[in-house]
Amino acid sequence: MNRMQNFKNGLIKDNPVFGLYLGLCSTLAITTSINNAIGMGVAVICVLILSNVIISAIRKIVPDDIRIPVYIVIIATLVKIIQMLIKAYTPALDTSLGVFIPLIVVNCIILGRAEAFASKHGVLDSALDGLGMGLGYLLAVLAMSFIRQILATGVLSMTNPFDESQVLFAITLIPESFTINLFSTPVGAFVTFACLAAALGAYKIHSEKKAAAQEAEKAAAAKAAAAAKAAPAGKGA
Amino acid sequence: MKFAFHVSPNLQSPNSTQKIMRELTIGLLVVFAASDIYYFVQYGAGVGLQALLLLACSLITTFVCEAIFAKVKKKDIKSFLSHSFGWVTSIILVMMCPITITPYAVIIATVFAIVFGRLVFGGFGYNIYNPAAVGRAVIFASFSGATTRIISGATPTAQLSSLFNWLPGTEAALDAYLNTVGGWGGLAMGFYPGAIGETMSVLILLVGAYLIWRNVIDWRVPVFYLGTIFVMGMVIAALTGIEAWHGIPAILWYPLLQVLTGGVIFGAVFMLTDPVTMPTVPSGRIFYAICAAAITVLIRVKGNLPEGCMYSILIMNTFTPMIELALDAPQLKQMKKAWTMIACAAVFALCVAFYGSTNKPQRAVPEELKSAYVMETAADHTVSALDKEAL
Repeated sequence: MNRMQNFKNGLIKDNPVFGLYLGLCSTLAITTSINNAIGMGVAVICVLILSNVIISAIRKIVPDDIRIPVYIVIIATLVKIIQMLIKAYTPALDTSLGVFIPLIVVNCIILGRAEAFASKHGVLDSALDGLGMGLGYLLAVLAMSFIRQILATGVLSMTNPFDESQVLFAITLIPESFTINLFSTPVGAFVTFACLAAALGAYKIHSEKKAAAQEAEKAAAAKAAAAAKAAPAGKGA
Repeated sequence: MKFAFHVSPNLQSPNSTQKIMRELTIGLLVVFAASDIYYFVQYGAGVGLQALLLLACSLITTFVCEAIFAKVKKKDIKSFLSHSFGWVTSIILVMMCPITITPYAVIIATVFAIVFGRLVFGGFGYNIYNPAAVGRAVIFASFSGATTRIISGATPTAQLSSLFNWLPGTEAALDAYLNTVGGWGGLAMGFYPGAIGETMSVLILLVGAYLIWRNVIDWRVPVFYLGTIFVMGMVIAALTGIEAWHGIPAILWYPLLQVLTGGVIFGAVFMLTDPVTMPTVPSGRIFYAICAAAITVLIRVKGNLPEGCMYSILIMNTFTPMIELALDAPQLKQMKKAWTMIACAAVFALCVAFYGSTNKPQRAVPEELKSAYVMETAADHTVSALDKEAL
């Protein structure tokens, strides 16, 4: 149950991008197309799960004083592997993501999860946490690139990442003369990000209020039940 | 004898926000109407109606956005609309746009100006940036190509920037430029295409003088803003050694050209003086105006953009809270600090002028204007750039 909760938290409530504001640099930079977002998201998921598992496995033998350098070395190794794989199999993705693949090393989500979760929990828990957080990141970049791509180019399209010439789907939603170029620039990224983060914040406040109201109702019901119980007892005496 | 006791503030201005905004709106509409009449007369009813269409689009978008916001915030829609003065933003926004812009671009820019420039900060009185300038920046960033081709060709301001790099160096070059705007008189009266509201310099100055007299805007901001641009123009003219024009020395005509061309007069009267986004301290306002002028000239002479007025306003809006904070001191201390700050701003403006005078003056008459020179014999104003087929 608790494991499931951990996993779910990363997706929506503690979404690493919109809830915890981690790893924004790459999020703002690469969310210009859905292809980029999926490529980046998958790369981050792979690195996050593997790094969480490895760090969690060695957490008892790493001296506390040098844990950060050790984590960084592990993460950097994993990122290098992923980068080489991307270069080898999806060269188009490599050119469009560019420097942001090696920059996964310094992505706050990965080091943050290593520090906050993997170094304190078991291997399976850490893997699940990595998957949840990674999926949360993927969801966030997908949502942002979805909005930005539609508004900036008017076309919702995706190509096969292994073969750039093969277009999986391309739907024109906005005619070309009505597109808003602004959303392909960093300004548009910031605006989109702010709107989505505000929406998540509003949802959080709303659900908290709801939970508080429910709790209050429950407490009131319990009180009433206790009073009802006490009343006949008092009469009997 | 009866004493009346009040809580402070005891000195009350007869001007209410409602009244100030009403007079500002009337002032803006006068300029807009004059400009629209010019388009009617010069280019026909289609172009004249286009300006009204743009204004209508912007106003409707503003009211829809604000009504939705009021609804979401569970406020009374009618009182929210009348206390938020959104129409001032949309009128200024439309007046900053060239008439060739599409209604769609205006609608999107208005949404950005009202929602992201204003409402998310808390509505009227809380916005950091001038909302109309935010909307104009959105158009700059997104819709630079989206024009309806009602009037084709570059506006004289854009030409002065692209062909002359803001420095027509000889009599012939200046004459070629003045031909496109109908001489000095045309330049001052605003009978040439440009942004809808910014061309009619003399009229805007008259409206500005009236608004200053009515205490609607602060005289310091336009005076110091335009004055600094004028002085910087004099410095640039003196250092680059551009020629006199029919006996008038360059240090007189060049600063006049800097002030009359483009949107600085409109910006000085209607945008820099926005009471929400400018500093409240009088000496702070002087500092603010001088810095804005320096940034305007810097963007003009060294930047890629044709005109720097709007971005200089946005940049200085960023510093407004800092200026307020710096001048939040006891009176004497504040005065001393203010003098230091103003001196620094003046030095900054001078440095910009020196830096700007490293540009080379354009001495030859550009090819693009030579043909217009010949055409001039046929028409009063050479920019007969009306694209009749598009109508």
